[in-house]
Amino acid sequence: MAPKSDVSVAMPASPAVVVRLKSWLRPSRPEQRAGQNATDNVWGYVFMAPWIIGFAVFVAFPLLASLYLSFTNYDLFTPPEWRGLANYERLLTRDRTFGASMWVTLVYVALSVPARLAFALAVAMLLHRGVAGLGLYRAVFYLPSLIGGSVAIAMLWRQVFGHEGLMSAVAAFFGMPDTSMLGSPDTALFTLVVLAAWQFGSPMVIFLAGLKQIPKDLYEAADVDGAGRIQKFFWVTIPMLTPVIFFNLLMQIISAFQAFTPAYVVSGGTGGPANSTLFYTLYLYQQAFSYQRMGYASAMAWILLAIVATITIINFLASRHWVHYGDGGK
Amino acid sequence: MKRRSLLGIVALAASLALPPSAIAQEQIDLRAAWWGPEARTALYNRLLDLYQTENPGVTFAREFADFNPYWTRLSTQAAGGNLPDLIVMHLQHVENYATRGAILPLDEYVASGRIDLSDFSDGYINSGKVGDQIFMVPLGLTPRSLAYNPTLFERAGAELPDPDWTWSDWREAVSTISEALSSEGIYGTSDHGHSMLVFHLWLGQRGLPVFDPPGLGFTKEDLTEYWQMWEDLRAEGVLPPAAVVSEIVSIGMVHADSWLSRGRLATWFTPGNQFPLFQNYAEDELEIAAIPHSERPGDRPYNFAGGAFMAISSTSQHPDTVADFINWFVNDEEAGVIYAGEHGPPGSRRVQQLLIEGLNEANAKLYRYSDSVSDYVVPEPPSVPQAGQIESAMVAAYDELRFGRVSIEEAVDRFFEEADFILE
Repeated sequence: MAPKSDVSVAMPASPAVVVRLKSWLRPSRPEQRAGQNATDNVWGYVFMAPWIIGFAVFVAFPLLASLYLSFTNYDLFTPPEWRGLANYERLLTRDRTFGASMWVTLVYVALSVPARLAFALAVAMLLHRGVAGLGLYRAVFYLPSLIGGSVAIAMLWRQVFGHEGLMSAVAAFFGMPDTSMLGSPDTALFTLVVLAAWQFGSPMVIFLAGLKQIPKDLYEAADVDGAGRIQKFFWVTIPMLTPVIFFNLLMQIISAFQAFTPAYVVSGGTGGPANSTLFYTLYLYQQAFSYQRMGYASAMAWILLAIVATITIINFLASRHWVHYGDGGK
Repeated sequence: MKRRSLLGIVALAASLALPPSAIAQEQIDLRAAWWGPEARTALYNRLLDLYQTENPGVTFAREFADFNPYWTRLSTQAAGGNLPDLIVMHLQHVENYATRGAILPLDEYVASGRIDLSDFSDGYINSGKVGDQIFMVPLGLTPRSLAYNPTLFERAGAELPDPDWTWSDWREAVSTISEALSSEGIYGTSDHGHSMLVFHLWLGQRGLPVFDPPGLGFTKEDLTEYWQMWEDLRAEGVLPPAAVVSEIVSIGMVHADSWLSRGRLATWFTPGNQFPLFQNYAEDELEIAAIPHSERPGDRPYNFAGGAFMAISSTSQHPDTVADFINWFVNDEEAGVIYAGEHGPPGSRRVQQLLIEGLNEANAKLYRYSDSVSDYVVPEPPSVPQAGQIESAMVAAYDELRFGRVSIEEAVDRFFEEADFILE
């Protein structure tokens, strides 16, 4: 019906050109006009553009740059100097402190994640029973996980667990020797695990939501079969919660590997007595910003990425065996 | 008509009323950065405000931090080409910044007198040099010192220090004090086995440097001997418990919380210029003693002076203005009196004279002490770029030792392995 769309650049500005451009933007064939795919796509990209640009500039580019830098020696002042795999070789085979920091981080993850999830589930179950002021409790328990990673809380932790702090006063009351939980390599990491466990709020809220989704008739059926409270917990609640547990486990493991602020503030940036609180990220920070070995730190960052990715993949593979999606999905 | 001409007259009058300087003056915005506790920040702010009042075209944006974070941030800024115009600089780091061209050589300013160092001693001027070029101007230099609390000495019945006392004398004194007062939580000394500062002094008395660039200047035997001394003190119960020492150390430069000021330690090794800061927060009157001398034959008294300096960033848009400020800071009498030797006796002899008259007791003690050791004090020797990492390695290895997890030999071996690894 309408003239075929045609864009001719050489034509001078004229109503004819305007009509032609318009017809290009508004597809002429009925099928096309019905779906308006071309228009949608263009506008889709336009709205995505801010995010794409932000991603490219602030995430993708630094990521690739750090990958490049991990193969170089870069001290911020002089241009990067290519060293191939030397950084990785040094890290993985010869750097004792790297091994120590890896160990500290693994211990921290192994202790803090189960602690956090256990508290989260326990408190979620308590709240699920139905208490007056549920909203208030939920907010109160959630609050530490919002502010817990902050410098202020870490400083508070130093006061509580430090020499002449709250814990010391309690210990003195029981006649125990004058010491400091933060100052001793045997207990310093433990204080950070306690700090992590205290921040159980965010997995708890997710567990609460998960608990609400368990159909009540399953519990009724269990009652009919004569199941007690503990049996109901292990055979109804937990299996139905496995997707939520899986999600929380994954997210908490990833975030535990990235923990930085508590270790930095509580140990004063040193990694604690005898490197006992030298988290992987803290050692990375020291290499990058205290000793200006950016290439080395970049290599550390990519190794961390590889480790976390591997653990995540293992988690996903294992999840097929223990996660039960009640609605038959995936 | 009338209204329009009235408006015109008012506009003309207003434009004439504008001071010419406001039109002609260029507004120069500079950034200044320094490290130090809150009290020092207040001082710098006061001085910058004073300079701004006297020089209306210049304003300073201020950046400050604690000593360690200061260097971390500065290096990040250097990477971004974003250094502040005025940088307070330190002997340990100047080589790093100077050799990479991050700060400007100041020889031209000094030669032309724009930065007037004519009444500075050669020693002071040379302390700001890297190689043959002047890169920074000293604000004050102080030797290292041993601050002590005579009240605690007297309470325990220990002999007070004298200028010639030795490590044995010191050991006896702190043992006596710890024995008498540890039940009250008061000790003769804290554990300084991790301290590169005290180790440096100890080595210097034996004629050894900490660093012999590009490597270390001492051997395993030296470190073993040094740590043995602290192990012996620990075995005798002179030192506070290991976990408590961790906290004493982490208090760092927060003088108000320091154990010396709170009367729980009788002695403390410190840069001399911090003595008045400790005295500020201490109830008892503190004194300064010389570093205990070595009694081994052939060893000499040793002390090194460090301090703070000012440098100009090479990316500054207004280096001349910064140079003028530096000149004012180190030469102006009012500024000198306000700054009051925060980093030790200042370079300008004129200002020194002024200060000596008006000094408070703590600063007067510092100046007298500085004088008393001046014949053997040397400027802080050069170190290696990895110095910070090596210090951390020493702390980590010593931590293993002092918590009883390894023997001295193992700790020393570990340190040297780590140092070799770091210096590769």
